[in-house]
Amino acid sequence: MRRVGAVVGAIAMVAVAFVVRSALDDDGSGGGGGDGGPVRLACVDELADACRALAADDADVELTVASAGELVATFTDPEVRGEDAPYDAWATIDPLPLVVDARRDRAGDAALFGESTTPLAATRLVLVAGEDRAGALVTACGESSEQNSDDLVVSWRCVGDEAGVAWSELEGETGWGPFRPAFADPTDTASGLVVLGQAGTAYFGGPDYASNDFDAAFRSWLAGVEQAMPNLGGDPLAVLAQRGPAAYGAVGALEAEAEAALAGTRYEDDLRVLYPAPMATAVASLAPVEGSPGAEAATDLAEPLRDALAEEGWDVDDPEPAGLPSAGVLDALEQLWREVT
Amino acid sequence: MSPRGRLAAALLAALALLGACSLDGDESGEGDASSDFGDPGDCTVVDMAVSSEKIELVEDLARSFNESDEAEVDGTCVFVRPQVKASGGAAQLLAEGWDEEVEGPRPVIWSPAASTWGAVLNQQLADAGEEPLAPEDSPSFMLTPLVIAMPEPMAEAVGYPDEPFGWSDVLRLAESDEGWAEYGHPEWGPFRLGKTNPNFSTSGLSALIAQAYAATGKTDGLTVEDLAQPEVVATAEGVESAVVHYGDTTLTFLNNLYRADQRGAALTYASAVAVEEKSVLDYNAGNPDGVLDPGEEARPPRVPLVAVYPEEGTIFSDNPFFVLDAEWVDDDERAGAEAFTEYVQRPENQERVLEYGFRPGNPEVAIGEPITTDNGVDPDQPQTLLEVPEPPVMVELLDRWDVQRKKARVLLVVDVSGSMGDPAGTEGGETKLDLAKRAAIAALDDFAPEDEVGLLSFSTDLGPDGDQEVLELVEVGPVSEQRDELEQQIDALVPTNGTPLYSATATAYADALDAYDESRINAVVVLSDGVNDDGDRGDDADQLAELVADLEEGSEGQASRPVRVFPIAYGADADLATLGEIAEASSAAVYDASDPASITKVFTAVVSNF
Repeated sequence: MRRVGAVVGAIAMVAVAFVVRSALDDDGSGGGGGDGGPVRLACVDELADACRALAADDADVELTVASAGELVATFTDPEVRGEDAPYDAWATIDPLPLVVDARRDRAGDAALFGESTTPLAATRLVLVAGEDRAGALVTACGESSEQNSDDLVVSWRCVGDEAGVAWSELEGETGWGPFRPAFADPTDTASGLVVLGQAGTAYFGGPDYASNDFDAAFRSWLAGVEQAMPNLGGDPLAVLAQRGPAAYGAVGALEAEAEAALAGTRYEDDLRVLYPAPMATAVASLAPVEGSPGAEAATDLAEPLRDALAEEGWDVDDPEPAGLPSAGVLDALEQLWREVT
Repeated sequence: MSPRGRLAAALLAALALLGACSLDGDESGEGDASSDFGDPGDCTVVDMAVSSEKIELVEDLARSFNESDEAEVDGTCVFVRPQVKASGGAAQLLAEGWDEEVEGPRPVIWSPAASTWGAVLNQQLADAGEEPLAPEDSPSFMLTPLVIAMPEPMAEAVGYPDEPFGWSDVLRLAESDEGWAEYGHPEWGPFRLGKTNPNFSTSGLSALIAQAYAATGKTDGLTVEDLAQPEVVATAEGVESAVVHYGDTTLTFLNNLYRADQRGAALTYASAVAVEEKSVLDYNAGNPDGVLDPGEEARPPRVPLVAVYPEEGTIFSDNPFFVLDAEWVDDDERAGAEAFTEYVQRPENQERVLEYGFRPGNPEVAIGEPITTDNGVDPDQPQTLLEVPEPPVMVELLDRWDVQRKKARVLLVVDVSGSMGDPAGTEGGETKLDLAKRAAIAALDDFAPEDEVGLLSFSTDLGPDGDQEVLELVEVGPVSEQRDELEQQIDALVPTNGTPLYSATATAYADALDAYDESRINAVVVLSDGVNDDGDRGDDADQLAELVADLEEGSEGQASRPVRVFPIAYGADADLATLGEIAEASSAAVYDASDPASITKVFTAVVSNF
């Protein structure tokens, strides 16, 4: 009897061990997010191509692409907490995760992203204009580059000052109408928000400005820029690609985004990329949602996402933001833009 | 109703006219294209409502898609089925309710001429507390800009393209006492402008927006306050004063211009017409209405048109594909719609867009033949694009246009022959005359208060002595002063005897000519349900020839005093062909009301010319 009991016990132990081993195998081995499921990755529109390339190569990624505005609204929802957030990580443009956490903090909600954001790649902020208009703009708003005094760059301060002015007064043609700068909606897009930040940096002479500096003169300047921006339906880069240089005087955008939007289009050779002053650089980052089941697994996406961004023309060597104000100032700028619109 | 609600009411109610029946219009085949598109079998059907200028192209693409391997989603085949629906008419149906028994299937994809209509629809829905149906940022299938089309010699005379030309120049020419003599061509007479009714026509609305922007010096942000500025008001009145006549579609102008061209008289019909670039290409190819009927041959005009891109900027008609956010669109249909939307954006299919004279919506496809300077257009233009105004501004624009537009002097001439007492075939048992009277009375409200309208009736054996063929029932006068009398006299009409169509038309035309007012659009509207029958058939041919000759002579030449004759061919027995000949002779258009039940819409379409 004791031998039978020992055998039965051994069998039971083996069975238990098998069950335990199986449970261990299901819990993360072979990739995926929490509970063995895929990593739920949210991705802003500006990084969509890279995110889709990543998801195509990795079946353990469940991808959602949406506008920055939509995703910020999701993440700032007080009902959303880390452990039951709809996403495990956010591929986005800095400093949007900080913007979200700051808003949550003001609302008395716990932060979602904390300090775990990983910078992935960088791209400069540029202005895209028709070749002939670019020439006129450089003449009207050019200044010596800090990097090379022989090069001319376009002053964003000047762009704002001359917004709405007739091209004929800016060394351009009468038939071009008024000078109309444009950028994507800063209240709904990451690229629009950072371009707005660059414009503010240009106005205040550097990135270290605060919302306290938003005086009546700045509000008026910003309102002038907004009023000069026509609504031709859709993203300005897409409209520029479809309708040509007649659409806008110059479009502010991420360089990688602009290159992707204009490559192979019928007006590609008629458009020129300008590097405005002050130079600004935006950084794409991966921000795991702290406390979400798949947050840890999400960190493994940094490397492949970085590779995908490199394929899309982003600079992956030591990405650092430059020329942009703090997250709090960007947040305040977005609010100010809503007020002047 | 809120101002924005008035936009929807004004635009959408009026725009349903595009089911009405001008032979020169773009309404052919509306509403029934789906019946001959084949059997979808068990496929997921994606119904489309498509504006008329692109129905042929969309049908071609739908057929090729349906036959391809691309027409499949999750193992189920997809069948795209387009039907033609005018932009404004479709917007109204989507806003107010789409009766599938009358209008055909509700669309999964709606493609109007311009995305403006999507904004109009969504505004109407918002005012009614309903969710929007037309998604924002829908892809543009193809593009064409609004231009001012001018006969080549006239464009050269003003120095285009070396000298910029725009709405400010149109104003100056419109107000010039010298007319074309200012440019050394007195033989061309005064500057004459063709513009369509902005309540009905996308081109007309775009032109109205463009001239308003030009008057303000802006290219975006047009406001209601801008429209009240004295110089803007003066510009509007000045431009409208040069209008030859309005109309529901630019095709009326282009067909008339082409016929005048064939007679060597193009330069005295119109100096400039606000149309889409694509129409210039069609015209110069010898196909002014963009459709080649069976047996018809495209013969280039003697005098081609040049597309002038207004100096102040212009607007694109962007032909969006709205996959509707509607409760009747299920997931399979949506997926099928998206597959077709992607299919038409492919470069090889976008090349087809070029064949029809449109610019591709896909920016990866270059703009090429036929969009070249050799064909009278310029692919490097326009140089400035205008922003479409907010709905409240468009309401204000249209309200002001109703006041500022060129006023009319119109003689209504109604057939009261015996056959007008025949049943109209309606459930209520009304006669053809009953329906016509009701429609004519309703049409009185489509005139401006300052328009002048008179009323004649015609038959044989009229008058106290029974020896008259035409009776003047109401002398021409302001509608505001005599609407009641007009209504009473129309209501009192009774059917009598024969149909002296030719002599009645000639009499009405002569009366209108005698009282010609150059500050107005002078016109005669003749409604008849039959053929000429004045008791003497022997002289019919001579009568018609003489009438046509008089009309042609009066409508051409530098000193012409054009009185346009707009016949309505009413009922199945009406002599549509002859009425069309009469219309053409006066550079007008004939309206087909062969179905008496359509007479109300037809009258609305006719009055849209004024």
